[in-house]
Amino acid sequence: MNGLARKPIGEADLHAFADGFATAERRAEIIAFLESEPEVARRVADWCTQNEAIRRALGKAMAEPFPAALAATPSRVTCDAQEPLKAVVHASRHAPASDRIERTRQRRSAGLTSVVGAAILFGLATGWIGAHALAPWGAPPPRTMLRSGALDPVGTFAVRAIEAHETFASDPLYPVEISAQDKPRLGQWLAARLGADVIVPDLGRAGYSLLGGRLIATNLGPAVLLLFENGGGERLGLTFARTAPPDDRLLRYQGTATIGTVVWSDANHLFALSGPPDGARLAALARRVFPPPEQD
Amino acid sequence: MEVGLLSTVRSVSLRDAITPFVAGLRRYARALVMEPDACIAEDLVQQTVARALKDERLRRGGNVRLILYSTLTSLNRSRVRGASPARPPSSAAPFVAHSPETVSLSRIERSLLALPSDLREVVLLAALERMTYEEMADVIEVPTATMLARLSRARDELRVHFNGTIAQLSAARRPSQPRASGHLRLVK
Repeated sequence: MNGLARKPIGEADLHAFADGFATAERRAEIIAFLESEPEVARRVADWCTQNEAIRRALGKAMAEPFPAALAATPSRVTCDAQEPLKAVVHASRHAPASDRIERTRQRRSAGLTSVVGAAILFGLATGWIGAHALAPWGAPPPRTMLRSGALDPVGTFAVRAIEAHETFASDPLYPVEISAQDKPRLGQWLAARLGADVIVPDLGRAGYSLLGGRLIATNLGPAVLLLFENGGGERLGLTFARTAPPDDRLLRYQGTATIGTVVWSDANHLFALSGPPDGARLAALARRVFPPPEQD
Repeated sequence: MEVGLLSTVRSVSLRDAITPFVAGLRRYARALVMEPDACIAEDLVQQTVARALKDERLRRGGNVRLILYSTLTSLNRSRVRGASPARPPSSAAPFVAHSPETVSLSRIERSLLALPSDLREVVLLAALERMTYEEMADVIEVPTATMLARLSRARDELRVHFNGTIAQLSAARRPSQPRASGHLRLVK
């Protein structure tokens, strides 16, 4: 390989290298170039890693060979399938994304009345209820819902709370760093880390006693996780961080198949109460943690 | 009579020509859409296939795969434009209830979510669909050089999100709150 006669390596070569399109000869030249350019080499190595990660995470092709609705005779396909499809497109063009999501959810799950009741009890704005509360509450989160759009800070916080609950509440021996027996120390330490008073709610009347607390890392900085347990060994986690209130200070539910969390805020904190994936029950418990915010 | 028969035969063979690509198309749609609701990607696929069955280019022997991907890509662009007219595509619906899979969303998926959809398109066509650069340029309907520039931008931006998660998180931390000496209160 003659170094002087080499064609300069361009962006296209680097992509071709990462994507496996470069010819063996060109490949050798690109490698020689990358050896002399560690910055570029890192960049291309990252591209290769991205490719791998994308294929691993998303590379599973869906099994069904042909969309069921279109597996009719061709003439029917072009006529019948168009109308509902147009309706969907029309809807998705003109409705806000949240409405679209709500509509498709409603298509799946009926019987949400109790859920609405719970939300209204909570004194929440109807716009939010319409857009976000309906499906998850009371009904188990549908498995077919795939993934979120961009996570907003509150959504990310809820995910952190769920992850923390999943990690710590399941530990039979050491779920907390400081146990409830040492309440003053627990309060002082958490308050010092949080930079504010730590409020420990009493869930005794709901049958839950405080196990203790720990500090967790969230997208909103350090947060306190307090764990409660009832006689049956069921654990609740109350996560809260000091933060400016989000734009909508209303209660939201997020959940997995095994853990749910309700998120709400007051003037200085964002709270997440995690436990069994039952939005209505968590909301009722959340009302014991703090009285519902007075809305309008 | 003869004409009718001929067009039926053509439609049937078109359907057969499309079928092998539907699985990949669906994979691309799901990765591209990244909405909590799988229905949206599925609708896109169905609409794409329905359109392709009527596509004149296909009847004239055009490249089935590229036409399918190109149709889906442009349908998705209209969808994104229509869904959030005031905002860039990357800052989609701010408040959605998240699904089981959200929680286990992989780092690469979170990073892809941060990309605007025109950048997501090229990354996915290359990595997931393993298209050549000429094919990709065809699909997104720009010259190859433009496509490559976009691919560079997409991959470099993805690097920031994918590699820089930790650095970004600490940088994005809010300013620390004033400290107060804490004490414990009981709230009934």
